[in-house]
Amino acid sequence: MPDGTVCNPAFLPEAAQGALLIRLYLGNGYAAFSTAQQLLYEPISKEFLRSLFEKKNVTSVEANTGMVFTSKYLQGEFSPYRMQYVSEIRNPNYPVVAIHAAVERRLQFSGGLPVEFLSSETDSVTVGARARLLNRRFVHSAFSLVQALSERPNTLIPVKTQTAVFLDPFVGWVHRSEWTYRLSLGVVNVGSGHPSAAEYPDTTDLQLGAGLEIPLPVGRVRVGLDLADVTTASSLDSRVRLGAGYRLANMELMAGYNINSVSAGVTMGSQLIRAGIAYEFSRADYEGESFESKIATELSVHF
Amino acid sequence: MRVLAAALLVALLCLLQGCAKAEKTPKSVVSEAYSLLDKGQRSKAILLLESHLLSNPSDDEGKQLLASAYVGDAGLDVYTLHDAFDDVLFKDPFKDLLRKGPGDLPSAWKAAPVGQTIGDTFLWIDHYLAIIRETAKFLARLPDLAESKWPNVDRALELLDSVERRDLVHYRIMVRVVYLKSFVREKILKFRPVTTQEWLCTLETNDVRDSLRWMLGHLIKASEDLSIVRPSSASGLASLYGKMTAVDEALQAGIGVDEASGVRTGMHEAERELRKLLGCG
Repeated sequence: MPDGTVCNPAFLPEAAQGALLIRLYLGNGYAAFSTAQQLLYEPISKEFLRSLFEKKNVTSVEANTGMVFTSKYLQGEFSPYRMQYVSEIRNPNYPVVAIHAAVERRLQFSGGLPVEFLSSETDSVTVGARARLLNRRFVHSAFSLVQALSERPNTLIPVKTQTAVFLDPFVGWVHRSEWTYRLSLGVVNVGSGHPSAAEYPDTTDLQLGAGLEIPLPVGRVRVGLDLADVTTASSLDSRVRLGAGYRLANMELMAGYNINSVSAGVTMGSQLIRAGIAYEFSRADYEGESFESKIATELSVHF
Repeated sequence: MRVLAAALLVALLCLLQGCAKAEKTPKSVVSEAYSLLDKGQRSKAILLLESHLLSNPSDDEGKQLLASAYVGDAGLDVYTLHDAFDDVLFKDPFKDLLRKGPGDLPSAWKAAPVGQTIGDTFLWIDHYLAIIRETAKFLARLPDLAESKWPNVDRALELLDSVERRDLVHYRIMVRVVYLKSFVREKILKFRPVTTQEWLCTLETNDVRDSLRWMLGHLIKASEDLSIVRPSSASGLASLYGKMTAVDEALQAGIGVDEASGVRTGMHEAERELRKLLGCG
């Protein structure tokens, strides 16, 4: 929910109760899973490179697994495996394939505290910070069919690794009346990765969030707006992340928008187990104009 | 007041969005061309890129895209080209054949026109027939180019020759070899029983010379490209390049022009003598 709420450490004191969450997320296109694994972890042959040109014009898959512990003021998250794979083939007359495959491991700690002297009965000001330790293994390359046959595979698709440490401090404000208003301001990506990689600029920048929660006769509606990369993004469109959700008992409907995709999803479940399915209609990730649709499922267990 | 506020808001959004109408940038034209080619709309892409290159003549990516559109429009599928050339360009099956001498003869005999014994001579002939057989088998795999599409390929090669990118060198070689094969098939071998009296009597030596010079021009460029992608073969290719250039110069020298009539005299005289010799009608 892009009002800076869910992942915003400044709003941790808003958490009603502690929880341990185990999450598994898998998008469709998992046939590309083995391709991504081979690119990152196994020797590559020319026959394998040739086979990359026989796939669909746009192929992508995403998978993520992790464990999150949340309490009123602290949160810890460990994600041992997060995989992304995108490939796009352009121009059948002289095919060029652009590929990005990455596996990331992440350890994250967050903390948030209320600022009592600035808070009142209806308004609360909180501060928080999130520390992230990342380890990435990735390939990012573009080459033609002819190059795939005439050049060495390891020069065409070199595997790179990076370790990064970042700190993201935030400040939040919540106003509670009939409706609940939220604002947040933070700085993200304070830190660096080593070695530096153009594929992951991770530029230090500001992030703004605004949210509104409206109780309805039946259920609750949440609407949120984030402005990310405030100083470095090229246009207003590319800064905007919009989200909305409607919660009724154990079911929540959600929708989201950013410059690259439109998504919708639903989660249902009990207090112990929740399952969700999301449909995403997105632009091809590689500067393309083609669109593709993805379906992803998520299963989480709450303790 | 509300209207003014709304207008100010729209103006502010426009300022932020940069919604002043912008001309197409070179990058957007190339991007549009990619989209057209992805959809199979080669003709539209060709028109767009030809217009784009008039004002951006140094855009290498635009040239490469346009060349590929022309080659695709000529009916050459790059996947078919790859499969046809795969073992020759990238696995080199001719290497052993060319390196070894015929039979048990030492490699020095490869250059000898006649062996010391009849048996040696037959071995030498057999060796080179094997090379010709392998070459013919390879050429048979290549697709054919319809003569109506040759101007497309001429333009494509003109564009590719102007771009200095190593990944395009193999592509140029493949297109050139297919073009040469189609040219020989259509212009020299088709409907003509080669070497018969009928063929010789209808032979236009100036046309033959022009065709040979055209073929040599492309062979010379192909050998230059081969020396880029196969530096280990550079010395052999340089020798071949030298011989082809010499033949081309000789053919060029065969052109003598009668200033009064404009007729090219050198080859014309040879043709006249040949027809007289053969008793052509």
